[in-house]
Amino acid sequence: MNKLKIRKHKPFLYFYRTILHILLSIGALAFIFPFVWMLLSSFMTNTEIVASPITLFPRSFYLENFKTVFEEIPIERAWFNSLLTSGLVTFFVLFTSSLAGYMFAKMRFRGNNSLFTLVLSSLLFPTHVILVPLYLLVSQMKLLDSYIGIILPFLISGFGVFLLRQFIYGIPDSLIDAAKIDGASDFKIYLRIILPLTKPILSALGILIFVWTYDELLWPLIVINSNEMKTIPVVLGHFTRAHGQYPGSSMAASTLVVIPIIIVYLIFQRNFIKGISMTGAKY
Amino acid sequence: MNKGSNLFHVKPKSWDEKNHKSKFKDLRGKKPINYYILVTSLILLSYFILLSVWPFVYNLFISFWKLNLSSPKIYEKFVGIAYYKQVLTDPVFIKSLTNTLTYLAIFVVVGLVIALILAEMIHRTYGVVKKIYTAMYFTPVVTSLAATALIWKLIYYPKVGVLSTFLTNVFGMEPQTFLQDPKIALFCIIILDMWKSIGLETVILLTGVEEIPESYYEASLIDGANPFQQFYKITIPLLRPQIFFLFIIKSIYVFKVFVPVYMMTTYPQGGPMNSTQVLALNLYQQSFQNLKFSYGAVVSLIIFVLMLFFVIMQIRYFRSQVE
Repeated sequence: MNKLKIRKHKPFLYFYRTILHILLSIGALAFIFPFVWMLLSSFMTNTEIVASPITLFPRSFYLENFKTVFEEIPIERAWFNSLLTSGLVTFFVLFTSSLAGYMFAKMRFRGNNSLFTLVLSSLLFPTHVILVPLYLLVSQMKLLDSYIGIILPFLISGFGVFLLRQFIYGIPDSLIDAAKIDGASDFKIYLRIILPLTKPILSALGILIFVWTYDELLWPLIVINSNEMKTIPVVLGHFTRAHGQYPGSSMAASTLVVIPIIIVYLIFQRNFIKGISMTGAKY
Repeated sequence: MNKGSNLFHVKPKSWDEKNHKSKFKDLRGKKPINYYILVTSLILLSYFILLSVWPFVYNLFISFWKLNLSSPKIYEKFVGIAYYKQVLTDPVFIKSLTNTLTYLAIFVVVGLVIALILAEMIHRTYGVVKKIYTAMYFTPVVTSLAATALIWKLIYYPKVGVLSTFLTNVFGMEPQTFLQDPKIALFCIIILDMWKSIGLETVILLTGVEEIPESYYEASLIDGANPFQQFYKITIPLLRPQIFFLFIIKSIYVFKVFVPVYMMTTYPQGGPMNSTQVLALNLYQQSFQNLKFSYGAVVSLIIFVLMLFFVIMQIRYFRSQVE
């Protein structure tokens, strides 16, 4: 009886599978198309890009756009600045999150809960909510237009501490107790046991923090004055003023920003997605 | 979720704190200082007090004063709630508020529905194809929002742009001006933002779907359920925790939206006719382009109040996860 029913559904299922794949492929192509268009139009002249009727492929291998980008905006320097600041922020967040995560997960002391509440309440005050006082504070500390000024508000993440606390909670106490009996101090346990065991969640959190930090625009826009300190998003802001006049070079700049990221993503693609689903499952 | 009445509900401890401590004291006489706890707490305390709590109090203070950064005496005069009145009666601010709320409704609801459907569809594929789909939908998430906003700005090029040509030729629509049309500019920006973030939500939901036992679907198939019934009756109810969490973090994100509007509209941003003005942009323009810091402080406070509900839900959710 059951078999009969399943068989009755089979033609419907095949039909359904085909529709499913058609829909998913159209969607996926639509998701990728902007990048293809970016790449193609970065090799077109400005008149070619906005020509009517539209042409999808560049007529010749036109490189002027890239030349304009290197002449007009400090994109290599911006890449360096973005990598440096995001790298530093990621390092500090991973370090402090695991340090505090171990403490909250495995140690009992007076004020444990109120301190954890304070850490979580930091989620109430993202930079947007304290933008003006933060700016005044950083300028009083004479840190405007410096790397420290750019990274200062992002060094400890309440979310990171929470995530690591959850993960470390699952590490068996017996491991830590055994090390304690052998005479290891808490710092040593942190370095030798906690850090190696939290590697998967640290790499997941690291990817998230890195992506969030190099996408940050509002704070760097305020802190940075000089051209040498500008990060990638700030430099790209150049095209909000004059974009209409040269779409070609704006696409060339986007290409120079997006393509390296996509290459890194394709290499570590599995880690990226695994990382996200891991942190997602822990939420 | 726990049902505690206070804000940050704390579960009762399973161990007896008092006994534990007194026993310890009896054996050793004096409790030794744990330097790990000392150092870590000091780092956390000093950082969050200096860079979260104190700036917030300072922000409250600033909102009642007229500031002048060029004079040696920064706090020029106490003005009471004058700035609050000014902000709340400013048509540009009102516009940015309503725009943000529109953004919230569309971005969160439509985004979640699309992500749910995508997750369910990808879940029904197998092997390499599944991995390829996931990777493709996820690509926009890792790329820079500022750069993708520039790309979309070109896609939205008025009349002769790619999207306009596509819509005219395939659907026979009138040539559109997109970002230059005050009626639809905001929606164009929301679409970019959804495109950028849907991959993340899809992957999180997909992880959730994957954890649902396959036997539920098999059983429903035997009972004669079609794929749509399976989606409504099995997938959605069992994904409630993930949906709830995504709902909260997406809502919080909306109050901070800045990059897409800043990158896609031309200087001074927020146009045409303030139709894409949002709270964070208003905050930036008033405090750092017009140098009205106290005005900005008031806008900050309003963002804080609007976010408060969602952030408290988030913190309570986190706390409820803590065993």
